Amino acid sequence: MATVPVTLSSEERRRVSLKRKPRLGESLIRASLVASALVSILTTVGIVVVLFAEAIAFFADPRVSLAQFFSDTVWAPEAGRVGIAPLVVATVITSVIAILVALPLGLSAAVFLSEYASPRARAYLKPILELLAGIPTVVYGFFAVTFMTPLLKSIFGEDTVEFYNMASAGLVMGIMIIPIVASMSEDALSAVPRALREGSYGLGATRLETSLKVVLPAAISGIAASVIVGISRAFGETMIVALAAGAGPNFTFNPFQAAETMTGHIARISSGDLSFDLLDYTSIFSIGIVLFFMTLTLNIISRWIVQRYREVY
Amino acid sequence: MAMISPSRSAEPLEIGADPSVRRRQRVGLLGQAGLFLSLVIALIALIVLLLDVGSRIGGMVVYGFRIDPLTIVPSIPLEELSQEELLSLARDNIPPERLAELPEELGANLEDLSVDDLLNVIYAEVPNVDVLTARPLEALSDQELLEILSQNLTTQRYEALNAAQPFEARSREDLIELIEQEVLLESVIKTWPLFPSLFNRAAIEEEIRANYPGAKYGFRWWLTPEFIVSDLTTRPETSGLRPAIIGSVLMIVITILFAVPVGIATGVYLEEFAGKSRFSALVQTNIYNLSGVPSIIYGMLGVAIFVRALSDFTSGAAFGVPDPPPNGRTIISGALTMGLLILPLVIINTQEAIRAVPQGLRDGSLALGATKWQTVWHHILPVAFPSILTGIILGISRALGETAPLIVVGAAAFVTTDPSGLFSTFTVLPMQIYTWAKLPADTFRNISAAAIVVLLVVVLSFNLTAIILRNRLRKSL
Repeated sequence: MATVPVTLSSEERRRVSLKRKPRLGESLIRASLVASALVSILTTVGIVVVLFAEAIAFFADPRVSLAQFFSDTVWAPEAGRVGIAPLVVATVITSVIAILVALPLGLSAAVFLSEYASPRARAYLKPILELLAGIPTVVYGFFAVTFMTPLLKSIFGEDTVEFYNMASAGLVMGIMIIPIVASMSEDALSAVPRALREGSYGLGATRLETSLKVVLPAAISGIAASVIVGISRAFGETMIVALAAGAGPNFTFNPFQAAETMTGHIARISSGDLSFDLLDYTSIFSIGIVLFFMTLTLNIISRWIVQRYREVY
Repeated sequence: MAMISPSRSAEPLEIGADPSVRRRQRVGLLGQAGLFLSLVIALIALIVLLLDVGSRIGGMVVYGFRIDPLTIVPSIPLEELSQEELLSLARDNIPPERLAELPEELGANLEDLSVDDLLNVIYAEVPNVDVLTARPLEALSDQELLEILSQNLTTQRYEALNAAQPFEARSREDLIELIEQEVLLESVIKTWPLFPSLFNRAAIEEEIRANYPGAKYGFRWWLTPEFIVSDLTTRPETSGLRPAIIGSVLMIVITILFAVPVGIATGVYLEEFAGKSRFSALVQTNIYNLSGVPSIIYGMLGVAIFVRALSDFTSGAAFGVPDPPPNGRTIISGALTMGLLILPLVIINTQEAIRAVPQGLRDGSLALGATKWQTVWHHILPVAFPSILTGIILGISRALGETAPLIVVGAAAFVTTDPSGLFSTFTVLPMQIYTWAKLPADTFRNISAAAIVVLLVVVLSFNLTAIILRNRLRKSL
């Protein structure tokens, strides 16, 4: 606050100053604002505590061992086999397929929107991506089952492609992730200083050469971050894989076969009135904890990359 | 901001100085087309998705009965038939080989048998003798129709129907339709997609007549006003969406009541009060991390905290609600979980909105002696409000479409009654879509698609509002 340019004695200043005046309402409001901010901290604490507490309860069960959790290739908790590998493998396969779709499409869209499109064209083109981003994932799941799976079956053969399959879920998940990759990459591309482009044009480069050889490399960290966020989103996506990828854990690397992902398994096991006494109930938290740390790590890496790259310019 | 005028950069003044220039320009054009193609593919994906859903909300269907009509209609006792009628009945229903052997076995032609002997032969040789003389529903008297209804419906259902409109007051056609719907469980046995049904109806009708002789068929919309307002049932032909819609609305209202005040307060705190303290940095990082947590994890938080640990409160038992559910799988648990899920979205949007408020406004207000809160309440929030609202709308649209956390928290897959309040079990629109889409029968996919249309209309209009609002704001700033 600006001080008033009038000379006052220290005694007078003390009397005039409102700084120390107690304001009960103001402090109450401040306290309630802090309390609100605490809700989000408590959410994180809650997630970590809940996941750890229930997962510890899971591993305390005599049928379960931590070593088996990471080495076994069968997931059937009630039968005493708890290898998380099949679920993780299916999650990774569907996510890799998704990112193979989303990266080229999302990145091209970003380059076009940031480097080529006029403001007018952008006004018409961006809503396509925004609409795609606004569609609930359960609708994408429906699309995967009713359109993508029959399409794959008609291309690769009725017998090659199972009714539930990872390819269908992965492809549709890729469409879902396009807007995420596109919007984050576009932000990164737009942040590249104009001088770099001007320099490139000055040297006689075409617009494509400038986009791909100057702007893109300059924004590469932001693009990498967008890909990582895309993968993290694919890891955590539930409804598409729950509907299309499989209805049981299956250790396979064949994308045309059915296999349940971590999220899909959690969703199936917990639908209906899951009893809290069953090993199945605590088992989903052991999967949840793996999923939570996988996505958290990816998100932290992507934020770290974004922050580092922001410092460059 | 990255707009470079094409006239200056893309086209060199002299073409041909370097032979590679033409080639490079061609590559440039191809590249541009390739980049544009990605948006075309995205658009095609969007259109195909909408068409895929749209093609299932109506179409040609063939009806069949799950219960054989012949088993419920009263038949005329054989004894009342004349000899003539019995003879033709025997000839029509005894297999030809058997018919040829019979005279030899009986030692007489069928025509020569007495009525009693003929009856015995029929009882011995004709399978399902009861249904032979059954008459089509149309041939029955009103009294008989009423009898069928009273005998085959549960008392409860009978009373309910009677209360809706007394049976005596109903027309004959009405009664027959009731029997077909309620007793015979008329159901759709085959469906066709919407577009062939509209434009190629004749071919489909021909196919139906060839494959389903005598069956009732016709064009049917799955997305109808009745579908939206009817109860949920186990039969796709009669099921509606009302409990799911009410569930969604109730849940969203509670979600907003929780997430919006908390979210705005957190945003205000971080931007206006916290300064650069350690605590605010912690909250900020935390919010960014929370926004990346998979939604199903929120569901697991919800089931462990709200449903289980706080079950006394979320089931309403602590508040003396009569007849509380055994655990906290209730609307309030779902709404609180959803609130936590959209909280980061609301906070981040609020922060951005507040950051966009010009500094001069703050300085002016503070210089006039307003306290910090007075400045926030009277000057910053009103200016930032439209932008905050955009965030809230996006949050609502997210919460409306989100399914995974509610599966874990335990939205019931099958609820026939409307949710009655905070502490009742519930289902929501996306949950119903998921449940129906999982079932293999085509008819369930039809109603799933119809529910998707309802959901998409709501969610996309929310999103559209947010987009328009944001574009207006950009222009006005």
